[in-house]
Amino acid sequence: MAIKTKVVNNALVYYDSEYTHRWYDAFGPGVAKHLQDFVSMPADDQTTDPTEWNITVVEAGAGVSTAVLGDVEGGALVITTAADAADGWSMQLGKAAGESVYLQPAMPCYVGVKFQASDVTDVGILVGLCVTDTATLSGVTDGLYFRSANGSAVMNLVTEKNSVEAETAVGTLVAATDYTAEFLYDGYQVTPYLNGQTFTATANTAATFPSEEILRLTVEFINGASGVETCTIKELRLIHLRDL
Amino acid sequence: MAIEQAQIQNALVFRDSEYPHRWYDAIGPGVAKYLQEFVALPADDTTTDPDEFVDTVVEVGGTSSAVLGDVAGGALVITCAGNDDDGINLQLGNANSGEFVALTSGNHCYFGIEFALNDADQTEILAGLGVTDTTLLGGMTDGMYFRSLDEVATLHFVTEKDSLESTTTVGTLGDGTYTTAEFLYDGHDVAAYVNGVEMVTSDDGSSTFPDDELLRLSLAVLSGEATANTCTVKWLRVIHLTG
Repeated sequence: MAIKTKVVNNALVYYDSEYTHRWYDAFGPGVAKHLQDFVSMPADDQTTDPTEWNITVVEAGAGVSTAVLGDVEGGALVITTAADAADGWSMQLGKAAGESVYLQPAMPCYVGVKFQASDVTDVGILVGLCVTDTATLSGVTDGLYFRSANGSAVMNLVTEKNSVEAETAVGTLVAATDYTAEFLYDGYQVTPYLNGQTFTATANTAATFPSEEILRLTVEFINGASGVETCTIKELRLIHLRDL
Repeated sequence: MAIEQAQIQNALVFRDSEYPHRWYDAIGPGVAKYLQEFVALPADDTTTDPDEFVDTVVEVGGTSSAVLGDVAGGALVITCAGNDDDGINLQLGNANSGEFVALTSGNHCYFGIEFALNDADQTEILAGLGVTDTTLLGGMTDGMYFRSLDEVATLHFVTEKDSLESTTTVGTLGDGTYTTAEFLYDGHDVAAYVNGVEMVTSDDGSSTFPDDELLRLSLAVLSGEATANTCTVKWLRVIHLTG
């Protein structure tokens, strides 16, 4: 493979020649992006909590829930839950406010995450775009995200509008195994990918497509049973091209 | 000179056409990077300490600090407190984690820094990659870095594994004079450069080559006398390509 460039919406997009949906970076007018390889991360020097994110921590059980850089080749964020069921970590980019992604026609958006979890059945994982919500796995009104719910290892792409959702299954997760989950909204439809494989697209005219709310980058990892669980995120990218 | 692009390890590397060892950026799979020109720096609003680094501060003689300076193009200014051995030890990441560089065969890694010391032979500096250690200049077990010790202005390039180090003299620092120090590991050999000139190469089969520990970006500055000496860092880059 190689890195190629193309012009999209007046921006220069760097993408993968083999997996052309995979965007690495973009420059130009209307580009809004958050690119994280987790080599560094601004963090509070007292709590070690990431300071670029609005954080909701649940840690009723023994220990604490944390999200800190790990000692991992290439960099990683390691989310560790406290030891009770429903303990975990929810984070949305920004602070009390921070919704930035508007999935309107002609406003493309790429989201990609490379991650693994220590347990995939007894945890809940959500990564993608949601409205502001401190407990997205418990239900969110509008969003476009990957979700593996507690009690199942199946990962779905979810499109959700006004609390009505549609799911597209993209794979069954295995514990301690890296996965690359991505979606690309090209301004007309959103297509999900897992480990480079393409799944069924959803048009922006679908009833569940979240076209009327501004969304924000969201990561949530919640334990489904007692015991400490971890989620290791090696890459996280959001690239949004506004229509100028 | 110009900026040229090269495909290395499936990534697109942006490098200097005149000094091709000098990498400015990279995009693509397996890229892990930290690029700082010190125009902005996340910092604690109370202590003003950099938030992205683990800061170990020694300030017996007042206050040691690492803050942005009023310098054209941006800079981090490290100021030691007024006692001998006062200063700051910075490592990118959290208190106990943040090691991300693996200098193993097939990976690539660039490190570069431009800095100046106000008093070169009365200030100690270490810049490069090291294992987690809060007193880098006191001795670490594994690392690859540039180092200048107290009482000398000589700059050395050091490779160190299991507390066994190899040092090569690569230059002499001048007071208030900016020096660009870089090294590039190409997956087999590492070459060190000072002010654009290749000074030494070493292969990863060397007994002092740190190939069995993950490393992290490290910078330490200590005063070698009872004076508030300073180090001004104009830019700092590490770009790591995983094979």
